Amino acid sequence: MIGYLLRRLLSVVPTVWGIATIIFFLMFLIPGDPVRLMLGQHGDDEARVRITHELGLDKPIAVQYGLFLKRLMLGDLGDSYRQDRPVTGILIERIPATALLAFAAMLISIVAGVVAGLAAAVRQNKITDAVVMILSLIGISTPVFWLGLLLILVFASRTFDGAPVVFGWLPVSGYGEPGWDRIRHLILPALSLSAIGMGYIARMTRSSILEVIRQDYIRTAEAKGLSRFSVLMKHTLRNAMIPVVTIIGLDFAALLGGAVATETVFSWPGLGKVIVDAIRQLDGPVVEGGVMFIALIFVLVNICVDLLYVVIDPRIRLH
Amino acid sequence: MNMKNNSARRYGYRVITVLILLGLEFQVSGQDTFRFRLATDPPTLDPAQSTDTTSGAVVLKVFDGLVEFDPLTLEVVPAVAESFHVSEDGRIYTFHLRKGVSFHNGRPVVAEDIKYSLERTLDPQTKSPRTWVLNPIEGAREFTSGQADHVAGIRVVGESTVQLILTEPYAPFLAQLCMEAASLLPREECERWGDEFKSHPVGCGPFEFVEWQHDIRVVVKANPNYYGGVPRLKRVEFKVIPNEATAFEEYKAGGLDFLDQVPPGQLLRVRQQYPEDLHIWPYLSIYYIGFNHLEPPFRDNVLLRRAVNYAVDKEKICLAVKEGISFPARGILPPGIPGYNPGLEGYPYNPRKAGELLAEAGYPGGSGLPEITLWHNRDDRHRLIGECIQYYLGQIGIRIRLKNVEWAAYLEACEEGRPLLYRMGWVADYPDADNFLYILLHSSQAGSPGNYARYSNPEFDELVVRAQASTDPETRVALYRKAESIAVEDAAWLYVYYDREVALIKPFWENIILSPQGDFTIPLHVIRHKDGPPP
Repeated sequence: MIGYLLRRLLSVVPTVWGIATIIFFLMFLIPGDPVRLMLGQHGDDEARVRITHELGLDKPIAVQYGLFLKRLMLGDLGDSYRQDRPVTGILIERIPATALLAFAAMLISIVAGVVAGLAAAVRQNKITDAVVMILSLIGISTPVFWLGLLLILVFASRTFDGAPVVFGWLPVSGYGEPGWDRIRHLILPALSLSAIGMGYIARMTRSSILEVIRQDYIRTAEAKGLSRFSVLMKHTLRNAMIPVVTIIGLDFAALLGGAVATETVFSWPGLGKVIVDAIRQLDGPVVEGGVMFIALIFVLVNICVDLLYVVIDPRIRLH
Repeated sequence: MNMKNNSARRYGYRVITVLILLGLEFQVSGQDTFRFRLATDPPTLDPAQSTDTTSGAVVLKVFDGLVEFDPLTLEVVPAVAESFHVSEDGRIYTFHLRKGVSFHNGRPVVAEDIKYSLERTLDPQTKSPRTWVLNPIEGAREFTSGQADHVAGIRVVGESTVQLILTEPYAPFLAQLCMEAASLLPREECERWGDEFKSHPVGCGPFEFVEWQHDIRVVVKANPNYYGGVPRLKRVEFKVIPNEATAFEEYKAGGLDFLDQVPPGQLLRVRQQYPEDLHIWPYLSIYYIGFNHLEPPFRDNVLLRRAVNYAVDKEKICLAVKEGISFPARGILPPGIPGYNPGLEGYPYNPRKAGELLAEAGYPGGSGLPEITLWHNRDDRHRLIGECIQYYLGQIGIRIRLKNVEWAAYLEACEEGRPLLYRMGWVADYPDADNFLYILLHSSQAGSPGNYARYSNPEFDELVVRAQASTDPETRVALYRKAESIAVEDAAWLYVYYDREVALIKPFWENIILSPQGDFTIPLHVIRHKDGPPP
């Protein structure tokens, strides 16, 4: 087990290096010049040459790449061109907001998705099943930004088309102050972000349970006279969780990488928006640092998911 | 059974009560906090680095310079300087500092601070994109390039007098001194914070910096020692809300006092529902379509350029795309800029005349003209305007293809002169005709400095340079008007529209001065609540 873990952790290094290299050269290939963007429309040529030199952007690409790798090995992600401050600081600032939103959205997705999927499987081909399947399809297909705006209109707006709205309970946008205020600010973005995951988890749980429910050991458990609840929770659900955990793991890793549309609609100060803004501004160091962080999260979450398989299903052995 | 129902009902009532209480927790606006929307997180709060309106919105509240613009008349008036004097030859500017002006850390502003602040902007270590603002000062370029250890043209004459000596007479210099890059800063705070000064700004403006939570908000509080009078607002909160629709909902919910734009397509509804909140006022800007003057078919073909100008119905574009906010441009200088010429006819919509000119230009009915690509950067409004122009030019036989490019690549392409036709807009850095005519159309500014069209006319160039050197405002206006009429006659661009600012402001705020320089320059220190104590 420890050997497996060490091997997997070692594999993180080439993975992140590979991604860092790809993103470094991709940033180089994107048309446009970050210094011109900084200077704006009335760009002073002297200033452009000077700033380009000071940022080291006038060096050959191979030299820039070498310096980038050297910095990376020293644990330095460099300074943002645009904000002129360390990328590490920019990312660290955003991580708490992103993590909070990701955890909240994931919690809603898992609880609602698993319960809905279970209900649909148990009542297969009945009205509950149909309702869950339709709702999960809507959840998967609805654009997040549209759902976000809809939630704002229903639960946060004070007026709609001049008339007062009854459900104006929650804040429209922002991060709120720590404590209860932050929870109030979190509800709508978390709900909006959880919709897609909820839909996937419900569908995956349903199909996985339907597969397990036909297994011999379930029939045996029922024949032994166990209650339906006990068969479902102890024998069916646990065995059906492997594909669901995979989906949850990937979804969670994606959420930890930031959710641009939700963050933009709700003015949530997360990681995704910072990276997208940095791409628009050709702020190479922030994009590279942000993408490497997301890659790292994906790899680590995948390792955790693999470890979880063993906990869920003792028949699985890690090699 | 009944008991069960009653208990469920009681529980239900409790839930509803809690929800109603939550709902009652409205964001009530206080009488002393003003909440201003920012569409993005400011890239910096260092005035030497500030080039965008978002940074400017905060920087202009925290910092002051020697002089400033009167927000209504747009004249240059004293700020930290109590008075100033320009020598007869227009080269020496003498500023006498106001007494009793202090930085937010309590230290009085002295003449040495002016020298320090201006040299800091010019210092290559500062990496300021706005060194051009101070380049007219003698020795500025030498200092920036490392050939000198100080700027020869900045002379401290005693504790409260400073002289700025220019290399040659340059009339727009005073206006340039009103820009953020010429703000005054305390040396000890800059040295204390080093690179972090951009996140801990200290100036001598009406508001003191309190906190900056990136992508959330910037907060400033009233400077109780402000030389221009203590601000009526105790606090200003700049809230970062990128999405237009969300910002509108936040405004409606009472979370914002100032919204800098109305979501597209909502203006009519807003006019009906929020007539007291809606403000529309002139803005020093122009929207145009540039021709590439170095490449055929527009090179040396003024008839073709005029035909294009006559062919497009700018009034309809203003109504359809800009919801009637903007109005057709007849030239280059927008109303409000000294030198604006209301008598200029421009090119009113006349498709018949456009067809005739097209034939005279050698392309009857558009035959012989290749399909021309009109470049625009990624934005719905630019796309719509591009489609309108495509339609109108198609009516006289000119085939247009639209090309949509990301802003970074777009700016580079325009600076390198690749597009034959491109859309562009310009908002005045400072309210002077020079900021339009010299930067956008003088042949020395071809390329990245601003003349993307590569327009060149020696007569125009000479008039604009003469206007720069003249110290007499009336002479300058006459020279700029003549220069503008030459560029319009030459059909240097397709002149589309002059813009106006649109904003929603809660009606309980008063004394709001809507500056034509843009909403980010609105002086917040004079705003007061209607129910607040009398001035």
